[in-house]
Amino acid sequence: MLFNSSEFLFGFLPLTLAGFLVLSKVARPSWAAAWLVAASFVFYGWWRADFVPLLLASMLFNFAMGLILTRTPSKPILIFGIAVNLAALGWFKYSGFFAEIVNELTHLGVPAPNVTLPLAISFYTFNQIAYLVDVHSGEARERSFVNYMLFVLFFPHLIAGPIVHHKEMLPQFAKPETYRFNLNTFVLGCTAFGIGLFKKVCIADPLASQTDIAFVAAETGLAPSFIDSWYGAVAYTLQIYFDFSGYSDMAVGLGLMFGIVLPINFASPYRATSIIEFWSRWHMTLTRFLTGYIYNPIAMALTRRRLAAGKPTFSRSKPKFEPFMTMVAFPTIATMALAGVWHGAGWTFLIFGLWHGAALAVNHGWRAARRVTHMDRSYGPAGMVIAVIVTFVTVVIGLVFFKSTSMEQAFAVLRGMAGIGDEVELMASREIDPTTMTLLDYLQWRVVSVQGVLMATAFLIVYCLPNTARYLETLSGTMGEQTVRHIVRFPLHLVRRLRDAIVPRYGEFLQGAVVGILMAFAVLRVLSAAPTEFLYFTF
Amino acid sequence: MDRNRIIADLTEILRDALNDDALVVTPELRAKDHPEWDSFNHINIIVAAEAKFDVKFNTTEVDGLRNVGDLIALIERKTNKAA
Repeated sequence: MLFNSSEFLFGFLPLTLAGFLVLSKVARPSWAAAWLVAASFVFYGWWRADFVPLLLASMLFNFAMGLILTRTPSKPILIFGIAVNLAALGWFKYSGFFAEIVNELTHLGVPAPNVTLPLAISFYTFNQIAYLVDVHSGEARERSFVNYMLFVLFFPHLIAGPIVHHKEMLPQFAKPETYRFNLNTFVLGCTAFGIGLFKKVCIADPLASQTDIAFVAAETGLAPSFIDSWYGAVAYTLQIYFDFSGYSDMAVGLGLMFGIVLPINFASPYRATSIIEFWSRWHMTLTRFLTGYIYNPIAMALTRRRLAAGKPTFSRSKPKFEPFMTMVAFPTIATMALAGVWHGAGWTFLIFGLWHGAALAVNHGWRAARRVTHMDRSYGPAGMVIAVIVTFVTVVIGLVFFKSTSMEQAFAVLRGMAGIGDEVELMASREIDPTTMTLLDYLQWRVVSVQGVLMATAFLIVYCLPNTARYLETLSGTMGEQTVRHIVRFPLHLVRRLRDAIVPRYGEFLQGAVVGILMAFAVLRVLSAAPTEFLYFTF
Repeated sequence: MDRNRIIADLTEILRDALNDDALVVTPELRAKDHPEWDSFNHINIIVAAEAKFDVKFNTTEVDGLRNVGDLIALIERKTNKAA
């Protein structure tokens, strides 16, 4: 079921909430938890009921492994558990891709197995592997199968994250306070959900058609013009942010409606001044998972090996090339390559990961170099703007691979972005003739339009408004005041005076009004258009 | 293992890794208190401590550390278990 569909908003959600609240009140918490598990099964099976048995089997297997590992924490058992999880993921997600690679290398003609990707398998596999690893090291244990299922299944995060950690979920499900209704938490939840819904249906969805300008043309392998390529690629960069962060806001909001705090997934990533900072603000729960379970183990193993062999380790104050390559660049690029392929089986995802890995490695090298040459002062305002732009462009280029379904398509868009487009070949399909058009005419035609205004609004939100986490923070703190200060940031003296007069008295009201209006717009769109899938549902 | 002995050994490791001979190690010391203590040096420090105290940490234990005091406690727990 989709968060942005009418059957979810007006059927599933109110019913599930009502049942949860009634059961929390009149029955034991375990009944309310069981209700949520049942509801989550309905939520998951709504589309395709045939993936439910696999999900159930996966939870049963991992719960049982967890019990065994609690009693006897042995490494072979852990490895067996992880291997089974990865084998299932590998079969359902990667068998086609592997067959393709094998065929390309050997011309054996291995038939690609015809399997459909079960919804959310990447997400629930990750959650449960992390659980097994931590049970093995004595960090986690769970004896209640209902609570365990709720940890994996809880419908706000089940399909596309945030990637939760049992350490932050299981204690919440066990706590009696979770099952006591709290109006403040509920209001916060509705606010986050409303903002997320608006981001998805009023910004991300309308932007989707704008990406076609570059990507549909490029499907044939012909490169779109310079401006079209950039326009489409930037539109996609905005679309995926509003789509995925909107989804994440909705997930966090839904969690809060049920008294559960889910981790924040985005913190204004496009304001990052470096690619390292970008990953600490973009899909934050994935970054946390990758750092904890892939990067750190690789880096620690490498460091142990080097120390045992008496080789120098990498240090930023005395950086050397060889330790940098083996101890920073290698684990970073390997981790990001895996992250890329986690998103999907295909060359474009692998290149997406390698691109980001390389960018992160360059970023680390740059930091070390700045340090050694004593250039590591702060950038200053102009430098910051350049840093933000360089970071943004790096992200845009990465996303061209991410969005493209083939390498030909990706390279066509990139050729266009580099200014070597196949203008003439593409002209026939367009209503205007770019060869006779001036740049100004072109911009006018392209940008001064409904879509242009939408893009500008999206950029305004990205760079000027507080992000959802910030908004909630201020809302839960000094209700109102702070947030309106963030929104009304004009340097004009008059506006400031006006604000000081209005905010203390009407801040709370304004805040409610803003979210109410956003939600009204969003619901109108939900009712008028067929719901579109979230981009991250395919991973 | 004796707590003072652990602090003395850790001081040696930290001074070396952080390139700071004047460093005074206290249980309250946190990574963000020292400009050299970034994620790379963190791994260097942890692995150096592993070698010194002849123990092995896993990543979840390392992630849970808030300050040097936590590291000392972890080393105490590990070395006493081994003994």
